[in-house]
Amino acid sequence: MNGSTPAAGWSPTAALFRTAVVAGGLALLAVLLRRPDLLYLAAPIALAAAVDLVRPVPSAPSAELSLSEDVPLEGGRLQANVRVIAPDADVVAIAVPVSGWVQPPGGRTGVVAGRPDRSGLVALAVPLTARRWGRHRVGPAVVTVAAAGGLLRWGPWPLPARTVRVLPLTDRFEGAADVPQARGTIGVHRSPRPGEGSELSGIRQFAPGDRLRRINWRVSLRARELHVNATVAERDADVIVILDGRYDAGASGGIDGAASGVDIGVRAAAALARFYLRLGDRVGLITHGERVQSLPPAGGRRQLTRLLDTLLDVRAPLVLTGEPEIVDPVGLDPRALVILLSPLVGRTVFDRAAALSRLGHPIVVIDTLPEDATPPVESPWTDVALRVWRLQRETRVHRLGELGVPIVAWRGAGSLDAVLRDLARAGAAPRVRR
Amino acid sequence: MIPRVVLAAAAVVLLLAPWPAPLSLAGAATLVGAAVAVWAVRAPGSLAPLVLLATAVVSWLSAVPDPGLARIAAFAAAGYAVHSAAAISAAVPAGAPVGATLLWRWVGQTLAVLVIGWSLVAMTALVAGLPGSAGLVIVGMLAAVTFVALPAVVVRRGRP
Repeated sequence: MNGSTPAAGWSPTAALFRTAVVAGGLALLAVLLRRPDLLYLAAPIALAAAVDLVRPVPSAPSAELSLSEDVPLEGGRLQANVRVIAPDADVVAIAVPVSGWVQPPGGRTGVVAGRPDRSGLVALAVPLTARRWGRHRVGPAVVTVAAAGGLLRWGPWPLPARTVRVLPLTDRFEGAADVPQARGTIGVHRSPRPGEGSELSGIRQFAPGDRLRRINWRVSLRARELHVNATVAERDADVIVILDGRYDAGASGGIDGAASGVDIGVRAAAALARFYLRLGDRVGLITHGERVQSLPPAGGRRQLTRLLDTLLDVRAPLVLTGEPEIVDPVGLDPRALVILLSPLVGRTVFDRAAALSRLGHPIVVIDTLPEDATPPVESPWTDVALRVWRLQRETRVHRLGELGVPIVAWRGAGSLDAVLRDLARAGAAPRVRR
Repeated sequence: MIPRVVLAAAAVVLLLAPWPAPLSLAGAATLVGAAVAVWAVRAPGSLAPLVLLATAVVSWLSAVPDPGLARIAAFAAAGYAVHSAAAISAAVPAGAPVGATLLWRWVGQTLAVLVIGWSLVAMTALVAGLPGSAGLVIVGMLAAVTFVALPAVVVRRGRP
């Protein structure tokens, strides 16, 4: 076992001091006061200590904290395992304190005390549930080993905490629409242009350059003229997901509770990234939270891992004065589909969305503000202020819509289908820069 | 959790065994002992169990000049149970479930130690004749010297 062994050794306990004082003191009192009845109390204490201390000092214990899974999904179950090897010990106590969003079902600290088996092993398994995405700590586990009937003790010593990366992959996006503007000549999206592909777009007359294997013999025989199956080219696309985590609206209740604005944003970003990467697209990510994180577009499973890892660090900063900026995305492919996930709080996000749209990017804004979000501070003016703020927000949303930027609320599977279809149609038409 | 329950129960028996008059030194010691018992259950790794045993002994000595055998047995068994339960409880977090193997071994060891310890005292008394004889004095002195020297030996062994 690759466990840790504490530097400290066996140390005497208060019980050993008590043994000496009580046994010795009672023996003296018995003699001085001529009270032999006191020896009936002193003798068992002295005898037990003598028996326990005659045995050799136990060897150094070792312990290890491990997790059954380091990267569970939100709502997933895992297990914290503590294994202590302490030969010749009498009592081994193990406690695994847990806090935050990875908790035992009852929310209680996992704790157990027992006697090692013949191999000197004591094990504790604490079932845990990952209730919210993010990086969470399990432990540090605390181990205490007692020997010689509790007269000697090793510890308590802490076993280093383990980090759990809980992935926000619960809200699957099952879109069916194509991206507005494909980028390369490979991929699975239908291009508006005819070309080599597997998606049938119609049947037309044979023309020089057509491959023989595309001839549709049944139609050709009927028409007595060569006809070929026409297909559209299949393309891949760049998708840039911008997550606005500068403000978190509402309180998070974990996987089985209410979702905050950042919860919705992170889960939606993860679902979108997974969906488009599975289609063979290149997906990039820019997050604005406590710090700005940027991940250039790439494809493949490794990119999904990188994206999810980046999302785990999204946290709303403590904003005291002023509105945090949303940085201008650098080196963005003009044909890239930009998906902006935001609770639409403040002015900057509207300005940035409008600027991206003016630059010619097909952009979709996903509103991640929870429907029941309320301000944390309640005062007599809260209702009025909230109503004014909502009106102001609606005005800005309306203005953004006038610029041709669609804004949809995240509703999980199929949220963007209609919007992407409209954008794809608009993308096929000649563009006029506003 | 169970060791602490045993500790609390043993403390009650220990303090009630002398059964003193309320308005006496023994009664006062019992009241102090009751408060200390709570402290001992909450912090079994502290000096509280020692103070509890000391107050119980003071109460016993002042309230029971000539105890019967059953009373001695109850007092001594409760005292030893307080001592050993506190030793185990100090290593076990409050509320922790304790393995059955540990509990049964503890119960067995406690019974064995009590029986053997009392047998030794009884045999010593028989050999020495009357209580308080010269033989008993020598045995008592030897026991006292042994247990004053014992911690020093243990501490030296425990250090690397």
